[in-house]
Amino acid sequence: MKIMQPLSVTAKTLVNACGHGAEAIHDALSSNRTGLAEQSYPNLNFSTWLGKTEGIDDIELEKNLSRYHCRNNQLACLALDTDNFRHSVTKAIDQYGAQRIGLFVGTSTSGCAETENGYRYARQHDGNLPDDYELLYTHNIGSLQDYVQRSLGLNGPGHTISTACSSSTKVFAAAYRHIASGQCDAAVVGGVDSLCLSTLYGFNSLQLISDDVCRPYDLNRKGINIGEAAGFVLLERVEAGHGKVKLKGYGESSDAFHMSSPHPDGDGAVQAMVQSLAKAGLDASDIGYLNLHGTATRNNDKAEARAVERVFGDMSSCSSTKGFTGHTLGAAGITEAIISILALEESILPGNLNLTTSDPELAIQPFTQTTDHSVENVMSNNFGFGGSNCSVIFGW
Amino acid sequence: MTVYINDIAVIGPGLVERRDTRSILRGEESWQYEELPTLKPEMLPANERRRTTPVIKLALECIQGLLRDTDDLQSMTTVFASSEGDLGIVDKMCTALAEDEKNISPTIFSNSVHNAPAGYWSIAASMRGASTSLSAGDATFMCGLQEAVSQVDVEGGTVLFVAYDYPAPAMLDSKRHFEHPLAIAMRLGDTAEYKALGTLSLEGIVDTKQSSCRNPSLETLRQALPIGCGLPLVEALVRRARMHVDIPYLRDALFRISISH
Repeated sequence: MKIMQPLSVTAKTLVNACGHGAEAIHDALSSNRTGLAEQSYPNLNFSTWLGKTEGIDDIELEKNLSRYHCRNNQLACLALDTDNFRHSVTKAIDQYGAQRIGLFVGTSTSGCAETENGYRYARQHDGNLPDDYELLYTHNIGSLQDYVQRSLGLNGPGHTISTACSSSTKVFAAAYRHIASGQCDAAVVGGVDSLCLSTLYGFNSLQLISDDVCRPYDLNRKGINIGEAAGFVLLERVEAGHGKVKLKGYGESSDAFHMSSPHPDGDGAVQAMVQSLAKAGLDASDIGYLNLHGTATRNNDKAEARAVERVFGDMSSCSSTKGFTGHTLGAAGITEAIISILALEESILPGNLNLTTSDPELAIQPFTQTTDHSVENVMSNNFGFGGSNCSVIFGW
Repeated sequence: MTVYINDIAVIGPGLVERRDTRSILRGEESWQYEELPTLKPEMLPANERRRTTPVIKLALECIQGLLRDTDDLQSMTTVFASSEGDLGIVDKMCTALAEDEKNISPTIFSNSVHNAPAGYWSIAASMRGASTSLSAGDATFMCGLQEAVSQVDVEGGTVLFVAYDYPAPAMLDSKRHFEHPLAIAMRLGDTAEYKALGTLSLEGIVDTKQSSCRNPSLETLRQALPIGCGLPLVEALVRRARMHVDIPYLRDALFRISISH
């Protein structure tokens, strides 16, 4: 496998249950403060913890883009308005031209809540959806890329990836390919997923939702807490981003095993991690920190621990950060990629919250508290339904 | 950037039998509407097939013909492109969620992910390579093809690309109407295989008008849903023509593809 030409991370923004922007989220990580809370959601009839992002409801989309209005695109807009991200993109447009900047984003459910609300309305209105319901501009998976592209004034290649929980990890691979093949000079990548009943009740039907705070890698883990989040990163060729964190590798694979359970030995996960190391030209021992997928379901953590052991041997420099943000599904990739970038920039290794009793069945021992430590390279894992796996590597 | 198109497959109403489909795409026969039969992609084991939906079956029926016995299943990659995915599943889920009990079956939820066809495909074909599932609204065909071509260019090897969409149940159909189902699949690679259909190059955004089908009877199907925009391209490939095809792209633009030998 050919080693890839690294790309520089020249701007970033993220919003999630821990707050808005890198500073707020760095602060939450440093002080081991979770964004999760036991809370309600409209029409949700069971009790769980959620990673709700504050301030979404107040966001108004641009007047000329009002038909894209839905919780998911509001959340996208909130992230674009944070950390001066729009300004960074405007500068990139001045430098490269709008047609030379790609846009690759991920989501699992896009504006699904609009359709859920529409069906509730239809039930009371003779089976008719609301007049102003716009499937193509809200719930369509492509709506996210379309909205963000218009909102940022970009005009290059792109699409929305939707491969469940690996969606916004794979955007890094797609962006790299479009840059490496000369179709654009830079790219914005990102991911957005917002709370909706489909995922809450869907995961509940699989008995994967915890009624407790989520406890990744703990003996008493009972499942996931669903969160919502958005994040974007601007990627440029290395010359443009001297001294910045770099995207060094990515690996993608399929389990070819089961629609909603991971391969028990983590075969697909191993393949994604090994491939990302090969793309980066690194050995497992070069990775100073691993951000685990660590959803806190029995099966995921067991299969991932097995896979990590197979690649890294005795790995102790790792954690799942889902105890901070919840499982943000299609936004988990970008959320954890940016947390991994923060780990490099701020010289911290995020803790694995809520891990109090280690599970003797799991061969890896994540940190329980955030610590100050500098490392050269970090890897982030995400594995999704349909057996879709992706690992990415960032480093100096 | 140039890649080889080593095979194509099309499944839609009146386009089920490979030989007849080729004749229609070559312009030797007229396309006529015939209801799409219940598809039973043979790659899928019977127990998996029972769990799948018409949308999943459509995508798999189309892509399965492009696999070769000699393919390296460990490294070969796939791109699944669909604008709306499975609106039948969306309808079932949202109907259930509008009721007080909100009972969703685990199978329906598992099938609701946009990458459900890709997941079933990887299981059926034992393919462990990278797989992407994407959408780009009405530009889905072109953006999916662009990703597939980029994969061949950067990663090398063979990429199976399939674009598909399927009509929605009544309530959603009132908001997003697809007249017919359709799937178009291509086998792309960095080397010419036996019976390669030609090479494809991505040219860029053009200010022209969308290409129409050379066989006038296929115009109905091209206009039936956004994925139909790929039909002029497969017609040109099957005829071994040298020409360019202009396909709907992001932000209401058109993107030019040229094909050669």
